[in-house]
Amino acid sequence: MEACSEPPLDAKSEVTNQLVDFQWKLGMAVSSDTCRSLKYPYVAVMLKVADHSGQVKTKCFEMTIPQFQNFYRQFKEIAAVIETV
Amino acid sequence: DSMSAVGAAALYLHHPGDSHSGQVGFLGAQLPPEVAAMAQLLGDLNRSTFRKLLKFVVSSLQGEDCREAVQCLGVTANLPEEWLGVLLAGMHTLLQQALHLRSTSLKPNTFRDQLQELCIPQDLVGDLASIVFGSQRPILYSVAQQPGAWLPHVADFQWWVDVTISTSALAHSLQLSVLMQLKLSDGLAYRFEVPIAKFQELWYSMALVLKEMADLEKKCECGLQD
Repeated sequence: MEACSEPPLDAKSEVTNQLVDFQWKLGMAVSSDTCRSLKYPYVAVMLKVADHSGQVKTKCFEMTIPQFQNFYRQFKEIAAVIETV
Repeated sequence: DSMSAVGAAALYLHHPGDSHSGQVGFLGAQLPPEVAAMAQLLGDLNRSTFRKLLKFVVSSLQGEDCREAVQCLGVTANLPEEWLGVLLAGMHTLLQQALHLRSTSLKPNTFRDQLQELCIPQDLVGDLASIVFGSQRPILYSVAQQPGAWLPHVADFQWWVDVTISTSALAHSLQLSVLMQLKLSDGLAYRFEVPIAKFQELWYSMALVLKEMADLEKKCECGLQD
């Protein structure tokens, strides 16, 4: 996951969607039809994004723990940038 | 050998229910080219380098970003970049195929035999088998299954911090905004703006998740994090 690899052309004019809500769940899969004995922790995220008309769309995805930690590191960078700007 | 004899016999006798005939290996009817290319490089490869690369492939299967670490290894191990690419692609495909749903009935001996048929050195076969059939199997197996009972994963995440200096409505506004682009493993991409106040909430939530993870680890001694 790299940040700022190339700025999007007219990013601002294209992006009319806004993040309105962020929900998360930390879970552990203990069993599944493919594998009876699991110990698989994951973070599931539900984002709510509103478009210019106000219509809210929901996006769900999940991350493994290393992926989540990587995600968090990106946020740390964003926070640092916001502070210095 | 006995394996190909059974396969040939099944072909002629049409035994559709015999899934253990070993007709088609876990790598499929056609050997993926990256696996074939990787196999050719393994003979001369330094064993310690192989094991380090294998560790990175296993980590990347679980979603970790190992690109920098892999590049460092390539430099210190004096590996040509093309070799690095071939080795990683081959190892990744090999492991992913061995951990796929259709490989549930794959036995360790069958796995080893099929790798030996590809002329993969004996000692490296052992290392690969210990990954596929070792203690990490349950986690690797479930991560390799998507989709299935799992939600899409994050394939790519990009962000930009924008400063609006002025708009037609407001001169000298100096407004900060965060733009995010999320690409998921199901192929869909989402681009959206995060107002600064929302970002702070998000950022706080993530720190909270990390804290919850740490608490959970202490409570049940699960060892969630590496």
